[in-house]
Amino acid sequence: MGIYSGTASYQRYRTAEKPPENIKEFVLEKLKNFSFREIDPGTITEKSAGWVSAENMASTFFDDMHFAKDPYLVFSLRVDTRRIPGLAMKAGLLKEEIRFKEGTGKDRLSKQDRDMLKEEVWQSLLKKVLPTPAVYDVCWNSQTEEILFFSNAKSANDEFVTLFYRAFDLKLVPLVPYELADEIVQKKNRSVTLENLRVDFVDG
Amino acid sequence: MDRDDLRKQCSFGKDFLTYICYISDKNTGVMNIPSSDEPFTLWLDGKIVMADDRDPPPNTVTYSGDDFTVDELKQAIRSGKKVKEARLRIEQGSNLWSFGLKAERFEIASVKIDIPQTNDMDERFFDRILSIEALNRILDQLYDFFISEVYEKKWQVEGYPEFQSWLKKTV
Repeated sequence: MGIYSGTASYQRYRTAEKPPENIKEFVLEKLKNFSFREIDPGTITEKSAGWVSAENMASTFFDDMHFAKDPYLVFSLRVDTRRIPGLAMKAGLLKEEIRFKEGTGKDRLSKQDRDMLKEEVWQSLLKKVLPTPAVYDVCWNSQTEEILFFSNAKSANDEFVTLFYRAFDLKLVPLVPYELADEIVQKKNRSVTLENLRVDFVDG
Repeated sequence: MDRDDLRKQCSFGKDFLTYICYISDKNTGVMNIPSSDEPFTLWLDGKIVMADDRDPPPNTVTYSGDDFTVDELKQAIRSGKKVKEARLRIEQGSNLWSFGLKAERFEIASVKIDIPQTNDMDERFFDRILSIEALNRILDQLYDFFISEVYEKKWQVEGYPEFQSWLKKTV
C-alpha cells in the first residue's frame, strides 16, 4: 500500500531549509550512510530503522541511482521491531521464579530479585523473537521540495521525521492546515496573522 | 502562544471540510475555483465524521453509507459540530479520485487511483505520482480559495448570511 500499488495513504511534508544543489549525490550518500541494518539475533536490540529500496525492501543498494526518477527521489523507510508477547513474558517469568525459589530456598521474592529475573527473562526471550518488518514509501519531489510519506500512523510519521533529520540534516514541516494557511496568508499579506482568522458557522 | 500550540489549536482543517461540504451541496457538486485550470466536481463519498469538541469529551457522530442526507449534515452543523473527517470523490476531466481526508493534519487516506495497471515499475510510479500530485494541487487550490474567502472578510459580509440561509433550508 504505497507509491507502487494499492490504495495510497500519505502525509505531506516540506523541508524547512533548502537541500544542497547536488541533491541526487547528496541523497545517495545519506541513503547509504543511514541504510537499514538487520537486527543481529544475538543482541537485545528491539528496533532498527533505516532506508531501503522502494522496489525491494530487502535491498539497501542505491549506487545504481534507481531511486532517482527525475524530479523525484523514491525510497522507503524500513522499521524492524522485536516485541515479546505479553503472555510469553508472563509464562517465562513465572517459570524462572519457581526455579529461583527452588535454587535459593526463598519463599518470597524481593523487588530486587523480581526485577533481576524480569530483565534476564526479557533478554533471553528477546533474542528468540523474530523481528516484524514494516515498510513505508517516501517520495521526495526535488522541484517542489515536497515529500510524501506513505503512512498516516503517528508512530511511523514520528519515526520518519526523526530519521530524516538524522540522515539528511533537514527539518521537515508537516503540511497541516495551520502551515498551509500560513503560507497562503503570507503570499497575500505578510502583516496579517492567523490568530485573527476564524470562521463561525453558527452563532456563539 | 508558540507555533506548536497554534498548530494544535487550529480549527482550519475542520472549518475547511465543513465549508467544502456546504459549497458542494450548494453548487450541486460543481467547483469553480478561480485558480483551477478546469472545473471539477466534489461529492461526499459514503462517510463523514462530525465532532463538537468545544467542551470535553468531544461529541462525535459518524454517518456512513448512502442513507446520509444533507439535512443530517445541516442538523449536525446547527448543533455546533464541524466535519472532522470525510470520504470525498473528486472528478476532473477523465480523472477520478476517491479518498479520505482528516481535518487535523490533512492526512490523505486510502486514495483509489483510477488508472490502468502496468507491469513496468517506472511507468506505474509516474502514473501514480502524477495522479497523486494532481489531487494535492486540487486540494491546495480548494484550501487557498477557502482561506481567501475568510481572509478577505467576504465571509462576514456575504459568506456567513449565505451559509445561514443554506443551513435553514431543508430539502
